[in-house]
Amino acid sequence: MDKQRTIILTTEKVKKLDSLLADFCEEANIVWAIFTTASGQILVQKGFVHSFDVLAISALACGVFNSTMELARIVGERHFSQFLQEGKKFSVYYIGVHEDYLLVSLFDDRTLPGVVKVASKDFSVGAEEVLRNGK
Amino acid sequence: MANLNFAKKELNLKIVYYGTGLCGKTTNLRTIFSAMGPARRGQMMSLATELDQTLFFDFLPVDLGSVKGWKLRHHLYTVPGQIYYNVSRKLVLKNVDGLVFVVDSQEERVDENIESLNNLHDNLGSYGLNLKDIPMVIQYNKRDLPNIIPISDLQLQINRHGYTYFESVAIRGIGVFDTLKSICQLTVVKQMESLPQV
Repeated sequence: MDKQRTIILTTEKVKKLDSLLADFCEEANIVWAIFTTASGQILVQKGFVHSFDVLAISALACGVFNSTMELARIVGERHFSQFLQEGKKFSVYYIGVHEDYLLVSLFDDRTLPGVVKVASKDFSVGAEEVLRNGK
Repeated sequence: MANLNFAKKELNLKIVYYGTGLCGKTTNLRTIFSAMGPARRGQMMSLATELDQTLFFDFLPVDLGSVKGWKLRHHLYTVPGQIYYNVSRKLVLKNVDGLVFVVDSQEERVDENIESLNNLHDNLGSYGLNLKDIPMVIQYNKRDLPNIIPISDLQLQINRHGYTYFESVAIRGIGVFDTLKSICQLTVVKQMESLPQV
């Protein structure tokens, strides 16, 4: 159950999340990443993808993530908290942060899924702390 | 779930167009997309079947100016109306800030409209929400067709709680922007009431 509420992002919180995402992208050699709400509203983003419609990607990614969560529920899992979509040129990695947020990372062959997975986990821990405690 | 970004002074809100299959939800978004300049709206995205029925959702981001220095960004979604897509409908409703319930005014669609409204109630309930928690407007669509029900009858059957309503012919753009303006105002007012001091 999740009652309706408003996410309030102070300038300080945005700075911290921005910095965390920058560190994550650098560490894992990510092409582009967004940290978004479960309804697809982008909180912070890093990297550059020319010709991509960022808002559309965000809405689609959240659709994918939410439907995967529902699939998890149907098969009796609490959640599938992370998953990978692997392509020839690009791959996309998803990880849920808390229950209301999502990190979506686009990467290519300059990094490895394992590296992205570990770095994503670090980001998720940091972001959760900022959202819980940050001013 | 609205999000207030103090760094950008931006207020993001999610509006969902709900209603039975083929009532005109996607047509509303297409009309908005066509009529608004590219500077004020993003690309419209539709996840549809080969028969052009919404499979998961349509999505259209629009910028609607600013209030009290806050830039307003509304994310408009539709749900799939067909009865067997209820899981998708429920997912799209997640974190909704405002609702437009689109009614097909044709006589033979009365039961489906009522069923859809009940379904909306049930799906919100699964998130611990109630219709009274969320701003909603009703749009009586297809008012140009010959076999439509009088508004007074529709009001009795659909709108017993007295939501603001609009008559529309979405395919010709009639009533589409009145509906959009109204739901955007309602959602923003609700958020502004709880807006912290900057």
